Amino acid sequence: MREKEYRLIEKYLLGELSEEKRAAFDKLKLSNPDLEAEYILRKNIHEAIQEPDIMNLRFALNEIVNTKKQKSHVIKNPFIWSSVAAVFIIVLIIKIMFLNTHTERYVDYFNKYYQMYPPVVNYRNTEILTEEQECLRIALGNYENSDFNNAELLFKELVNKDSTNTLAKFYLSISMIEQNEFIEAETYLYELSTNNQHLFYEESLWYLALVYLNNNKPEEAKKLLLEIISRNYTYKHQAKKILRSIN
Amino acid sequence: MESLKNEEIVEGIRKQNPFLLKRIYSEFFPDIQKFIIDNNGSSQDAKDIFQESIIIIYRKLKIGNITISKSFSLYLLGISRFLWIHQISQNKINSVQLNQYANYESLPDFEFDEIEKHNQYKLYQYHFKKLGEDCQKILEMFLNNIPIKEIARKLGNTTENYIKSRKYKCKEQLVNNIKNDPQFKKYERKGI
Repeated sequence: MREKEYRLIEKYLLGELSEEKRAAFDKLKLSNPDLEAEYILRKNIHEAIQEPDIMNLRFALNEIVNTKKQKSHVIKNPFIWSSVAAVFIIVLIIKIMFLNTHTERYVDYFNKYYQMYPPVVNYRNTEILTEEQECLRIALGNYENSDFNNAELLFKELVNKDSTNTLAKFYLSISMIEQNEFIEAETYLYELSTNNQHLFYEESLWYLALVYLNNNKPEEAKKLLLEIISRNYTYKHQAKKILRSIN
Repeated sequence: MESLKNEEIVEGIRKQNPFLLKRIYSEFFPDIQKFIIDNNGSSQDAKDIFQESIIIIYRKLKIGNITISKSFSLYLLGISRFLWIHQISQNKINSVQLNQYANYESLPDFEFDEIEKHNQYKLYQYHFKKLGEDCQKILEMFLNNIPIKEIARKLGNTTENYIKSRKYKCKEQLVNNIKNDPQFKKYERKGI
């Protein structure tokens, strides 16, 4: 089945088709069992995710049934304590010995995992754009053509006009990274990471973690990578790999 | 502490009252746990079954009322037994046999299809909750018929085209994750 058909089903389910197109789709379903099966699956998924009350109840019950009384495990054998202390000292010595090597490696993680974020917003030529949208269109065009200097200027103009424009702020940060302006990029990404009510929150955490690694701030990076993993964000696999290597 | 009355329990579940849910758990979970462990299950299985049994009762309460002829304890145990048997026998007996077993268990107002649907929805909801927060937010807003302009504004003054494209990608991610889940493949094989 093709993307076109998936989109058609989604539009049907969200009531975005005209009466005429709905009727045509109903007819098409009858003659195409694969389409019918896909439609039923998506309809059920559609219904299932419209049950926030059930999901909330499951969450509440899960909390109740999995709450355990914490037991304290006190190690009574003094020999174990001395062994633990010895291991701790050895680990500390190894950490100190390899500290400098690590400083170099943090930048390597950035180089290995950083990829330019794709320009995902497109305006059709037929659309009538406001001044800001026009500015954004040109900025994204510059960004797409790797003209990061001009892209940065325009994104900054948009951010200066409206500091809540998270899209411009995010692309501004990436434009800065592309020009090795890491300190400035860190500032904007940090601002984006303090508010999770926008679409680039996940991406901001990931890029900020990478910028932290580049700027030799491993502890800050680790916190963000852990958050990415615990919240099951898109970059969790990469975050796990980095954390495994760092630790 | 005095035992809960049937009406209190029903209202506690209907209103998702956290205090009463905890009491229901303390009072009725041990019987469920004993049954599951006696029938080759683990303590975690017992917790899962208890949880889903309460949700099934909630589902029934949403569309009407439930008939508890004897005690709530027996009613809950009946549902839990049914769910557990369903789970362990998924690959062993077919739905007709299972329906016969359900009749033997004489569960009141209970249909085999309801359990199947409940389990499928549980799988879909599990994958929905595994999506990134922004994907969940976008899909929720679309389902709540929030105008696309408003969604774009709420999610950081982004463009409507971007929201549409993101919504589609999120939904496709959800559908693909579900299709790749081994549990879903089992349903597919059974033709559900």
